[in-house]
Amino acid sequence: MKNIISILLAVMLVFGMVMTCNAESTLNADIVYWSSYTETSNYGQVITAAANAFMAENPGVHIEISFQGTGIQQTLGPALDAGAKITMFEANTDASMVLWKDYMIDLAGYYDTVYPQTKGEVYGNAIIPAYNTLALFQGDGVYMYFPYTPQFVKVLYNKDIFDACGITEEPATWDEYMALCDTLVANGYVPFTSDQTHIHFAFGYYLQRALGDEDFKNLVWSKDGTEWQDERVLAAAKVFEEMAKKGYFAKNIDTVVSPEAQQEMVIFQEIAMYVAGSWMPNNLRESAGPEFRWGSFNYPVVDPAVDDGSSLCYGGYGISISKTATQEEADAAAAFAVFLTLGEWGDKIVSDCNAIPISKDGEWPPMIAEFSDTYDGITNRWTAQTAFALNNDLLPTVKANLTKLMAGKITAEEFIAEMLAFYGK
Amino acid sequence: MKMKKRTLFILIGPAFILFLVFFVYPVIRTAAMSFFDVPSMSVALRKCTFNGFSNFTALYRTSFRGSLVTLLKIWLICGSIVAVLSLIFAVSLTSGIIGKGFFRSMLYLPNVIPQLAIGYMWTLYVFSSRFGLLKKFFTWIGWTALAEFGWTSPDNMFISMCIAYIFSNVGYFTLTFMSAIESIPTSLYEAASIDGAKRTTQFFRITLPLIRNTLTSNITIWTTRVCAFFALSNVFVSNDTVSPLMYIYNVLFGSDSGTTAVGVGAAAAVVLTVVVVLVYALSNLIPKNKDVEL
Repeated sequence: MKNIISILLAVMLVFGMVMTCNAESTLNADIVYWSSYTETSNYGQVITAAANAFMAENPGVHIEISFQGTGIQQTLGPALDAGAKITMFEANTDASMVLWKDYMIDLAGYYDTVYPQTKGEVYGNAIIPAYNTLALFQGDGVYMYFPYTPQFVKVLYNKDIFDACGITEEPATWDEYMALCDTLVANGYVPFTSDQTHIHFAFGYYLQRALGDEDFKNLVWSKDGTEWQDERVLAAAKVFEEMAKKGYFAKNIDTVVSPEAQQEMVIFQEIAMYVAGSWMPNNLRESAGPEFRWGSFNYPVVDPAVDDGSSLCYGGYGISISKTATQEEADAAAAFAVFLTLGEWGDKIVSDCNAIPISKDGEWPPMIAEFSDTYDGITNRWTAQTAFALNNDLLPTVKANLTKLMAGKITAEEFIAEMLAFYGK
Repeated sequence: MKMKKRTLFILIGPAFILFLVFFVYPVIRTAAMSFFDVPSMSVALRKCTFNGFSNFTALYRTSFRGSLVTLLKIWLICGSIVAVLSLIFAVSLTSGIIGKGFFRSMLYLPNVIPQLAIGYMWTLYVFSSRFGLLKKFFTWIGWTALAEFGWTSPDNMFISMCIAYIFSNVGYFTLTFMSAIESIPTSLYEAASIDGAKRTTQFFRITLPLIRNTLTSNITIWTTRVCAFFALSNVFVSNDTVSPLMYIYNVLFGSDSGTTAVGVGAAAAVVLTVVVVLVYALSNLIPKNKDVEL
């Protein structure tokens, strides 16, 4: 009997090994992966290590990574147009879905596939729902990328300062927000700072809430400046003029350049808040040190408003597969994209890069663990850096005049007049 | 010895092909793109829609006109200051000063530092309103108004950018002027001294006329440099610091949100090219110093 059992076990073992080998050999392709990170960055190192691990598990797959850095926006388009062999590429989805959508394949089949990293669920159900919705929205109903490294813009704050002022509730409405600022000023703190790179975030968010996305985009793409004469825009500018008068903005807000203002916030700990991207704590980790406690809340609902607070400025990076890829290459590329962004390597990106996990049940980095409720109740998505970021031609004028408005150097009416001057009025 | 035609073609051929590929083709392609609605910079023109002069009329409604004014201001203001400073340094360093080699190296050093690094050095370490060198220096000597001056505020950003640009250019032009001055025979100065001419008279009557050719070629070099003004525009961000190249870059490659206006950018490039050609043509009208041979 023992012999029979031994033989059976041996047969099962051999069968298992053969099956495993068969599973490994399913994928067979040479992949060229264009990354928007640099090779030496934390991201670059994790991507390289993940590719090596993937190739070890799938001997039939060879991955060649081309690290393009942020210059990918200049290099990828010509390379795709020229027909260069690029199997998969990764970029900020706001840019990639405008510039290279025609080169991407529909990933619907892969979203419905169960991978070893998706814990028994299909891929589409394994990621943060807001990013499933976003991918579908940006692709006009078609999944065109595997999202990862989620990012958003909201109000980040120094928890120690809030605690020192006895502030326990995060504001949800504009009145609560202003009351909070009063408390901070009364306790000797400066409520906000910003710099000339990010100064449009705060006012842009206000306009997103006050005008709604469509009217705000019309304002940003105004042909003759008519939209800037909208009373609601003037009212928004008056709110910021009033905030400047009350000393809510740092005194040097008109002279600090990036990253000086952010450094001042974490080093001197006199400034409480910054309307910024979720990547800011990681950028400041050296200066802030491990003791710095970050808090955050979504931009408050303004009054009057079109939006009720269910919209968020968010986005992230996405991995797309090129139309020139063969079926085998596409299958291998999809498997690698999931391998990289979920499971062990998805966790590695979170831990090594302080990135936000794309997995719906992923653990957030300790530094920003308390940001994990950001997507709760969010049903609508706005451009990650507000609609102002859409028009690069207008942006320098917006930034310069907003800086002057928030520094108290010009009034709301002068701000509007300066913006109209852009259109020759 | 008469060179065979075949040899001539072989020798000129590579350079001619490179010229066609890297200069003529991009110019023609850009000019063509300026008349089309172009979705991306490298897309085949057959996939684009012809839209006549729409890109040029659209250009009129953008900040491009302002960027040309910025360019003109940089050319004129910075150019004048660079010329004066370079001449002063060149004359001083060729007058037998001790440590000439050291000062020459020091002056030239900023020229080899990338413009982007120059920009950040000035904004973060010199102009900073909290830690900046100027802030500390003026506070130390008690000039409160200058210590409080907002060098990097939007209203003053252009001035600050000009200072950084002048800093990075003075060294190069000082060397070219020094080279020209050193080629003037010392006997001329000796004769002038014997005749009782003062230093300033010698400068205006001997030095300046004899370096006129260098001055003319420096105007051309300066124009070339200014037309390529880009990196500092990216660091000193304000509405009046956007150079034409910065504008073109912004609309060609798009924002973080991917929005591009390639045809409009190409139209801007065409206008800029025409401006540059005109400036060259005008600079060639400056008479050369043919009556003096050194």
